[in-house]
Amino acid sequence: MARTASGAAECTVPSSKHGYDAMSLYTAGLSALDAAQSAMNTVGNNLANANTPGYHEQVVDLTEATPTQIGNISLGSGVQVSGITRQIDNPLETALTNQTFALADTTAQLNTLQQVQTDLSPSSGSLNADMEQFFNDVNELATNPSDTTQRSVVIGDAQNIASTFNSLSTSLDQVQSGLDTQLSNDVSSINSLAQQIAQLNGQIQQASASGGSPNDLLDQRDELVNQLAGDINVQVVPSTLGQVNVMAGGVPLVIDNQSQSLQYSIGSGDQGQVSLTGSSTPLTVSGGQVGGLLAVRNQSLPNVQTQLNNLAVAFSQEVDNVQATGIGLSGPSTLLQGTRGVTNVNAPLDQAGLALPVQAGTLYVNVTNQATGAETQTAVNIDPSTQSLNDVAAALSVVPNIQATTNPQTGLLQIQAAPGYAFDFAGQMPSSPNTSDYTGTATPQVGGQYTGSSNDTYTFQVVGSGAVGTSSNLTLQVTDSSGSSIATLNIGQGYTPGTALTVANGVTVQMASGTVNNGDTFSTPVVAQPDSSGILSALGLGTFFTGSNAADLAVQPALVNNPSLLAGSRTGEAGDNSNFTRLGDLQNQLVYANGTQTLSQGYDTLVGNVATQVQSLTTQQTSQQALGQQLQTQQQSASGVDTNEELVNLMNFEQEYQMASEYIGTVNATIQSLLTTVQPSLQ
Amino acid sequence: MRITPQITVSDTIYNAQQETNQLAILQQQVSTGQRILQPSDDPAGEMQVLAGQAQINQLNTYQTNVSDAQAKLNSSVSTLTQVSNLLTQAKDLGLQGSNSGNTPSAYQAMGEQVNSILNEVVQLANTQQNGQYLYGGTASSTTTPFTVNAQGQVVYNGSSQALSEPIGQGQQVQTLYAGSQVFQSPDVFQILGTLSNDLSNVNNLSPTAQIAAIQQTLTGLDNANTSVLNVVGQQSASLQNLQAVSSQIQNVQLQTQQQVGNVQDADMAQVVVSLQEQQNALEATLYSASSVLNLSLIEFLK
Repeated sequence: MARTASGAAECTVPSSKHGYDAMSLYTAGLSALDAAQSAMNTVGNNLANANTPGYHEQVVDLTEATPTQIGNISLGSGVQVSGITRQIDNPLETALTNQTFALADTTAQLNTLQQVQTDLSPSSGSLNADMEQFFNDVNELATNPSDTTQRSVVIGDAQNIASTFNSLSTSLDQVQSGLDTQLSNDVSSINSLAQQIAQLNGQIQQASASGGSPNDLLDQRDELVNQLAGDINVQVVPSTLGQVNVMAGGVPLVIDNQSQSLQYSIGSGDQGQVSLTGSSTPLTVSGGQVGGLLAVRNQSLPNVQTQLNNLAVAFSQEVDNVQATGIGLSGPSTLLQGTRGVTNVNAPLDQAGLALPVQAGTLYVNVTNQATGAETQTAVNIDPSTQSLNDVAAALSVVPNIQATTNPQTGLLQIQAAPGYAFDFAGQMPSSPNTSDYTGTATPQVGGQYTGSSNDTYTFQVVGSGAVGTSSNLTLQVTDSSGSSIATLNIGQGYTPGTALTVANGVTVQMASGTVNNGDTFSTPVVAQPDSSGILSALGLGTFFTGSNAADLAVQPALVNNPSLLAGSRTGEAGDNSNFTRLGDLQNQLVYANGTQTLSQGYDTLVGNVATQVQSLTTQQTSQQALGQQLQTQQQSASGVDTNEELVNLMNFEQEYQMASEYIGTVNATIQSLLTTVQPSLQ
Repeated sequence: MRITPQITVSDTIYNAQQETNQLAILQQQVSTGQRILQPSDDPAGEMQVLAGQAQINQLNTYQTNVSDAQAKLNSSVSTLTQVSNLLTQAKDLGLQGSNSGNTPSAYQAMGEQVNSILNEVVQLANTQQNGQYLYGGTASSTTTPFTVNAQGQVVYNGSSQALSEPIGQGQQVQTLYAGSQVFQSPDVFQILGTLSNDLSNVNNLSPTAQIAAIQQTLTGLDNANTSVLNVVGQQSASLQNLQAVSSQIQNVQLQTQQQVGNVQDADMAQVVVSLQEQQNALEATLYSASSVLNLSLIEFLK
């Protein structure tokens, strides 16, 4: 309408002599129409995008048009739209981006650790409850050690422990592979964002080059950069013509209208890493969702996995050691097959890939003659830094009547007794003491069950000479290996030959009738730890469990099939419960974390560590969310679209438009009436 | 400050979410009665709860073992009391026999009575409690402790070690005694056999010699009875100790339960009040949102 009016005026209206121009009457009106139209358009755009994420309110910048100078009169020539600007508070936007980045990092870690906590959570069927049940049932079994039903119960408890370890390990592995998938997806999404940003940069560059201000493109691009900042640590550097360059994790991801792509891969040491596609150099990712996921994937989760494995190994080692150094219902073994192999039968044990540790120590091997019941004891020294499995086999084979062999393929050790013999590692005192320095005719015999806590040798020295049970001043002086005196026992007048005298720590001695000579000695080893080297548990010889980590721990199949193999005895008597007592005592012993914790406390600590992390991340997340809410409010306050405000503006510009139209109508009518007057023929 | 409708919307959503979360937690606390719903709610408290529960469970086992030991020892004390009564009966017969004027048939009858006492004592010495021999020590539960061999002698097949049962951390009590120590120091069976033989006069002694022999055997019988009664004394002392251990276990359990409860249980009054407060807050948020969000210029332009 305005255009036709001005078009009509252009060809018909002659210019004034005084410099006043009828056109200029139209110009002011037209500029007002244009301005009002632009303003209403902007209001419309603002209203349309009131809920668009990343949209910033746009405002039309109106300025006076350059006035027309006529003589010394400056005549206004209307209004002009000098630009449309985005309402943006840059420091606030940066603060918001940083907050998004930090919150994404925290949330990624928290979500994963919460899942781990749920897996480990000691509510029902958790590992420490299983362990407690096991030890409690062992203690109950100690009241009736040959009760086969209760033996099966204990073995069932152990199977529960093993399967809980297995399923926890599987859950953690699943969490890990879930994280890998999520990281791959995140990296794809980063790549797609980078591409879009580069594209938008290109469009912005074109629009800006032609002098425009592509606010909507800028908004879109900035929103994508914001999304990118939630994923990974980015650095945004302004480039030419409204473009930005984006550095992610220290490498240029977007340069003007070009982008590079990233890849996620598992690097050395099972560490997840993000790198440029085709490169193996990992980016330094320090936050955002990818940073958070990587931190959990590479640190928190492996920590939990390591602790779980350590606990599985420690539990197995302690229980195995007790089981291997006891005797089951059917007595000593005639054949034992190891279940934990070495990688190389000729390599020193500490370099042969054993999961359970071996340390320098002594293994006491008892061999029983099944016909006579006579028992001999041999100490075998183990040194994992020098001895290979073959060396250990050779050392064991030196023990009379047993033969140890290795299998180079499987790396397993096997021990077999000669026919008519059986062996055990319960460390029971040999039936006859060592009498190489003894010349008397009265046969000494030691017995009882040693209850001391460390390995020792008791030496009995005869003081005085004469007949046992009759001579006066005839005593046995008992000393331990350090030479300290333990007991002085009368074996002369007043002693009935053949009765047992208590020495100390459960050990007894008896002298048959006969004579003894002053200075004669006999000695016996007393063994508290029959295997101080840990070789039996490390090689899986007669152990409770097989396997070497949380994932593959299992109860020995032989034990499951035959609960009578459960070693409750140390004396070999079926009704003896001393090995069960030893096993039950493990419950309260500080055998974990360098002797500071019990096994179930070890698990509590593992759960506690995760719980503490979850707790602090939750607190962090809550405060970051609150901060985010505040920043968002501020950002909205600065850049958001207030619909009421827009409506008022709309009415305002509507009125301006109406008035401009009215003005042009008036000008037109005025000119028309002038034309009618001077040129009636034109009518 | 400029407030846009979007601010109101996002504030409302944020506040309503926070309050709903809090409400859900409080509601769970009310329904479970527990303050710690997952370990991260209070890691240190959770550790205390776990340690306390472990202790309670362990004490349950010890309590079971104490009851088991009490059953065995009570059974043993009553068995040994019967044995002692039988030995007293045998002694009475012996005293009767050491008087002059008994006829050979009376002696014969007395000898047979003592012999049947001997058999009864052997049976009592093989008493079982839940399939376990009370006087076999740590020998197998399938080994009968006392059997009579071809020579008619009672021999011991059990273990010389007594069974010790765990009743506390590092605490044990002997339950299944070694029969050799209870009945064979001195040998009850041998003494009863000798007394029976003395009374029946299997060696055809003169009446004076027979009476002397009987009297000598009676001294041994007294010693044997004293030895059995000593064991009764020991076991009664153990029973007394077990009673003390049992009530101590109950005390500790009660205390531990209270401690666990203090850490774990929600303060119901406080939780319910908080729940009400939180509910009010949420209602206020939703109500104010419903009225504020309706405010728009549009409403007034019609």
